[in-house]
Amino acid sequence: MERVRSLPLKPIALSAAIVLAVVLFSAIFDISLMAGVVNGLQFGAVYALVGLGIALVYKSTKVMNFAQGEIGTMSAWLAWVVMAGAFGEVLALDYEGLDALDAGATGPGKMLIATVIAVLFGAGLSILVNSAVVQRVANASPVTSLVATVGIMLLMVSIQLIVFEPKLRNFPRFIDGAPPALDVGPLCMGTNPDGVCGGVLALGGIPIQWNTILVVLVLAGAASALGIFFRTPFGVALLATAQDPFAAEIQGVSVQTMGAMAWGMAGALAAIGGILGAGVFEKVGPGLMTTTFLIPALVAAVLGGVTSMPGAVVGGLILGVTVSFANETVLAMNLTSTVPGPPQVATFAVLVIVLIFRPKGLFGKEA
Amino acid sequence: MSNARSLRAVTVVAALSMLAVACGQKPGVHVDGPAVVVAAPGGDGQVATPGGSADGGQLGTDGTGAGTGDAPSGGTAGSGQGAGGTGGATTPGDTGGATTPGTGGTSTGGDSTGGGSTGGGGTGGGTGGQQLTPTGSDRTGLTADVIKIGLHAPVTGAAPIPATSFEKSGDLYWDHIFKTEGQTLLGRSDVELTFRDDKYDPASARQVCRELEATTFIFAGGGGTDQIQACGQFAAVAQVPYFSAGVTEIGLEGNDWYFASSMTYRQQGILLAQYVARNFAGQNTAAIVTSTPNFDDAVAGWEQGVAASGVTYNGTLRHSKGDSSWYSTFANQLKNDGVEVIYILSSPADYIRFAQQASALDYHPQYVGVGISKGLNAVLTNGCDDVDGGIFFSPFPGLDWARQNRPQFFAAGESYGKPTDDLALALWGVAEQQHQLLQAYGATYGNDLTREDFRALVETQTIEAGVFPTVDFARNGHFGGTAIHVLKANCATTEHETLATFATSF
Repeated sequence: MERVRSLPLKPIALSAAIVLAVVLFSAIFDISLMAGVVNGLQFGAVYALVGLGIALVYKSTKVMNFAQGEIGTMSAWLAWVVMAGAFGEVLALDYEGLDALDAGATGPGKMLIATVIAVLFGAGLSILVNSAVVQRVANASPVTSLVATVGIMLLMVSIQLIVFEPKLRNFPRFIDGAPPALDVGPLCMGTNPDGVCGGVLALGGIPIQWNTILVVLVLAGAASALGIFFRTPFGVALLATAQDPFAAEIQGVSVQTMGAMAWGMAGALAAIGGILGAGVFEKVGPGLMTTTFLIPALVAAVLGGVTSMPGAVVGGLILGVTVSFANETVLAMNLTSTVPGPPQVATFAVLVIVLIFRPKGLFGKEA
Repeated sequence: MSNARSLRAVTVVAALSMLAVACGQKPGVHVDGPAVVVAAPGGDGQVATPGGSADGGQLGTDGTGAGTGDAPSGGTAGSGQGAGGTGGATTPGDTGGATTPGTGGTSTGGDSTGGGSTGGGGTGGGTGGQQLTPTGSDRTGLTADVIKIGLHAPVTGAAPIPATSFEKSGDLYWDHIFKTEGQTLLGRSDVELTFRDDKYDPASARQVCRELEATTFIFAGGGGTDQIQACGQFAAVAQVPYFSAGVTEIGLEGNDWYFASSMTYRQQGILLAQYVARNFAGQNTAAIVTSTPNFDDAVAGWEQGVAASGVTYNGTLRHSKGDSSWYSTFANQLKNDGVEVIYILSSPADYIRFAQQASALDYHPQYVGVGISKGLNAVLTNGCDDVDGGIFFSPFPGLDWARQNRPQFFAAGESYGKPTDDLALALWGVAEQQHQLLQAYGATYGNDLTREDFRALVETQTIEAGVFPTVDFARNGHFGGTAIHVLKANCATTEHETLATFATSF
């Protein structure tokens, strides 16, 4: 097997180089780095959550799951239905009844219950997708399973459109607002308009919302949990199954069970991502996760190395900050009317640069 | 090996996706060069200015002329045609109430005398000149009893408009005309509406318009600039009359088969600047516009108006289409710049999300804008309270106006069990316009309807104000809008209230 040639750059060094380049660029052109970071984390953490699920499924079953985003949206819709008490209206397709309901003001307690239900649902839905569709094309080429997941994604969007209509509906956050300003010695994060330290916690003039903090914490927790999982016997069995299903089966590992477990965990991650992603805009709508987060999450997963959990997390965060930074740059240079699609161009550029220097991605392992 | 290959495959897919999005434009939308122009049959020579209700008709001066007189309320229009030589002049028609019919234009070498007016208060006039014989041959979408009309709009896709009213209330006006009032139109007893979802995608729009072209007589676009442009260009190739509320002029200018039945974004932008200058004098103003070439003319109109009106202007920011990362960055920038008024020209979903992210930064500017979809009440259902107080120009007024001025709209809705929301009112207004045009055709050509002759007739017409403001088409003026309504979002009622109607300047 031909080894993929790459320059001898370590992933951390490459990540650091990207970060350094961003810092230097912002210093030279007087661009608010902190504002870019705060805005970037808000989206980047969700990219990373979705990317984590994509990487998990790919690492375990070698399937690139394009339905990952919509499993999250379906779960978010279920949470919405639980919070709004809309089961009757949904079953009857009573659109006027749905319009009269609002989950936007749901308290944290009810939202937590809805989230638990949605996470279980996401896991179940993902397992169902695996067993009902993906497993049936397991022996076909990887492209076949990829296209199958695209079909499932489109089916899910269609179901959402039929049940909920093409409307955005209010979706609550676990915690709204932003924490108070921090006044630590000479460092004040958050100032009032009169320049006195106070108000809410902010960096670069941008309030750091509780929701952003929560998403980052959940991401850290999920990544840590997965890291620990892959050191347990179950995790090792899952890795063994991914590397050589036949050998794993001889050792008494059920390949199907392992696959279902990986898909179930990815579905749970998708559900969490869906609920937190809906919280970013405080709205949920048909196709939310696919149209808003899926493509960046896929890029984040590839950036990180596709099979690497830490890679997906780092890739998602780098991507979020890069995109935000691109927006800050064109704004600072007054180029919004002349540069087409700065976020997409920046994302594409980072992806190309990383793959030139490390074709296996930041944290990917040799094939 | 499979890992590496799959990785490459995924990378290629992702890269292509990013590249496609990065272009900021869906394929086949933008037209850099001149628009597709297909010569319209029957359009040679000078075309008469419509006469009728105001001042009768007058024929063109030279060449082949065709003139039609507008029908005043209650009357039918006369028409005239001169072929070759110099066109004749008409005796001015009647200004309502007079019984003397206008004299059709006579022309040297002409083959007919023009029609006068039978209108003017409903009793006036004889039939004027003889009816013209249609020269066209395309009678697609017609039967002895039914005229089929097509409509497309995005009800799925990235920026959908809720479909309920499109599907349920699209033919409410025609139900009222045929069933309640017992009228007939060009010898027919029904107008059948065919609706198709264009999925907010120009390629899909072309596909559904191809289908509508094959099955309906004329068709119209309900919303979505790129989709309307795509169908407008298709209509020129297929030679079928195509109508929409005014959106972009780019790629549609010079298109003989496209008709904008309200002011375009460029035209509205000039008025909006006047409105901002008058109502928000001295306030720092900026614009956020989706980065699609099809909004370039809208930006040009707005900035032209800003310069002329003396608006305190911070600048125009453009964001890429399909991107979700710009909201808080832009909001923070505009907040720091002290911008108090924002003209936003983007999809409703972008507007709602931007307003939400701005609110999260404790930034609550005054939103203003033009167009169709952001003035819909559905925006309030989805976007309140962040979008409360937003002021938008619209081709149709709010439901508060309709309750005072179109009680028959609500009565029809009740009679036929159909929704009577603002989208249904817009469709009612569109049907009113089409009704006027078809009546004018009948008075000119009789019941033998052809696409070619209908197109030629439309570009001589002035459509009187109904739900939509007056529209004045001309041979070289298919962007016929003359006025707009002004709507203000009210989250307490989740309705837009009407601030001004039929406004032509501020």
